[in-house]
Amino acid sequence: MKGRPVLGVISGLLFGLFMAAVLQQFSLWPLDNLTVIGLPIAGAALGLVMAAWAPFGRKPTVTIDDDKAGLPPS
Amino acid sequence: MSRPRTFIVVALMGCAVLLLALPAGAGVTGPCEGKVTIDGIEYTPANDTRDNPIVVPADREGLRIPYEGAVTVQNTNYLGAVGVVVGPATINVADWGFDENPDDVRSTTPGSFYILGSELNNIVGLYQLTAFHDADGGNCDATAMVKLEGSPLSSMIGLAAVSGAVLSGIGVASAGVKRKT
Repeated sequence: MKGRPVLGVISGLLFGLFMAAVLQQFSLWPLDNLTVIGLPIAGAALGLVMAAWAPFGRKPTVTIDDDKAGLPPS
Repeated sequence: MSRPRTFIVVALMGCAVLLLALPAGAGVTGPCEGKVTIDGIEYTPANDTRDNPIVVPADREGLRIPYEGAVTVQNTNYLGAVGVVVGPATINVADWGFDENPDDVRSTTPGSFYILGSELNNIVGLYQLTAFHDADGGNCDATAMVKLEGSPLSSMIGLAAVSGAVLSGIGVASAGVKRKT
């Protein structure tokens, strides 16, 4: 795992809790078990996935050595 | 943690979330009935879902709320309470009947009403309420959904919730940044 799992889990838990509060404040969903417990768990899982997929969105860099590739010098 | 193990943990967490998605309440159970009128709209225990809540308007200070309630069984030695659901906990907001109450009064006085003060002025959002009423003749349980209208961004709680969600969301995104070696 190349990312930051501890940061991901902690900020994911907080993200879930704050999202529960946002949904409640905007009258979309009350503070029930699903949001108060479920969203922080889902947030922690998301943080863990982000850490597992790190570096997120970066493609591997390929370097070609002209000498070893057998190409004639230009 | 290896990648397969990570995904097993994530899958188990997902299952836990699904198990917590319990069905909505069923209004009222037991020999009780009641209704309340807010802004000319009559609400009953059927208003217990997110899509069909009891709506309290934003301009609510001084609002006159007529209500009626009745039990159809012997109502002596009763006690009851109403609370706000916060996850697995319920915060008690009102209770009644904890002293001796030998009178078998089975309904509210006709014309009963409540006038809202300033206590709900800075509170907005959707709240799930639960209530119970136990008496010698039987007991009732009820749930209701109450929507307090108003702008969430005009309250400290709403601003804190949005700010916290943005900041912690940045934290989640930062978990995908490669660690320095």
